[in-house]
Amino acid sequence: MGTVKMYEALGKRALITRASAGAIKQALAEASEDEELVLDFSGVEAVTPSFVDEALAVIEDGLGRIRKPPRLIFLHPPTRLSSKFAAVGRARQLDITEAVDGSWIVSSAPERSGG
Amino acid sequence: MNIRVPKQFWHAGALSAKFASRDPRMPSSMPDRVVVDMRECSFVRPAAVLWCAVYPLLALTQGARCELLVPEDMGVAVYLKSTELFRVLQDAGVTVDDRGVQGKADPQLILPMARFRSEEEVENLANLAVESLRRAGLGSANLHPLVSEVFAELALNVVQHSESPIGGFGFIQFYGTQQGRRFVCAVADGGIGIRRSLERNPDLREQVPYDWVAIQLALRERISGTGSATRGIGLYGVAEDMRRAGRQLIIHSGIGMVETTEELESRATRTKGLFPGTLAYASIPT
Repeated sequence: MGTVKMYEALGKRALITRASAGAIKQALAEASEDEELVLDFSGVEAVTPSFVDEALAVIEDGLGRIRKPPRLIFLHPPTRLSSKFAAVGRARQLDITEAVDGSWIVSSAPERSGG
Repeated sequence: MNIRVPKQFWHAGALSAKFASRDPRMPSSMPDRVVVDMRECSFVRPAAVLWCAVYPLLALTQGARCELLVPEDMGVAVYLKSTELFRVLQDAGVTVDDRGVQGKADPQLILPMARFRSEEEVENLANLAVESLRRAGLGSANLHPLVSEVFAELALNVVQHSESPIGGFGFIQFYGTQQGRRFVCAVADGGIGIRRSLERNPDLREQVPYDWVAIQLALRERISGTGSATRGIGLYGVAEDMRRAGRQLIIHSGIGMVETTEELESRATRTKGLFPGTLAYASIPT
């Protein structure tokens, strides 16, 4: 399991910009080599859809695609999973769901057949 | 030109109709001198405070000499000084005679008015807000992330889409009144407005005949002037966050205003007063 501790990596309690997500590209790439990638948001108190989207883009670029079976976990996110973060996932054909412990699980969205 | 603001100044939409056509983004529209007369103002809301920053600074870019006349009501004057409005204007070259007005450190002012031009500056401001919220200990702590995120998203929108020649402005305030306690995030720019921003996207150009239509469209998922499939989440996300009991989002862009509350449908109106750019006001009860 590869883990990236976001606060330790970036030193910021509010993760806002795409540039900040890009700044940990190397750490994300190295951690992505394991079967499970955990982004630990302990110490982070605010995060935007822009940051999350860029983090997903960096990981996707590194893996080609979120691997199957996907195991990307956002541990200790600063807020409950809301529709804005779910929308970030939808835009990338990913499902983001909230686990009982409050963490977010990112997985490939099931392919939908046309009607 | 002398713009006399109302005694109860809530937002630019409340200004006299005779100023409605005076767009400070248009060179031909500006006289040599612009005076914002607040002397009789006895009550001012955050949305109006930001108009007081944006309008004179845009007029300055057109070569006008600008002055803001300070409220005679000392309480209002002190409040405006505390928000840093006077300093922002003075730094830019607007005349503000605030002699005798003592600013005071207001613990309810989570983030005083700040000017920003880059995403990095927005991130720094959001981190300042996080620290300030923690230090002040006001309101429910589980809302602090939301307050910072809403401010940041609105400010990022300014940097990414507004093309504002004067940058963006914003502040965060906590209100504790008999009517209740709430956080307010207010952000504004002097840019092209939401309608023109969406018109940058060829697929949307025919869908935005009016400012209020453009604002409503911009609040939908994955709608942006860029046309990118992964963009257009920010404003949608803020609107979704505001669809909770007691929360409110007001966006004023050009002559359109849209108010979003917990109800599914937002309310769109045409305003008599123009906002020369875009203003967003989010209110979060705690």
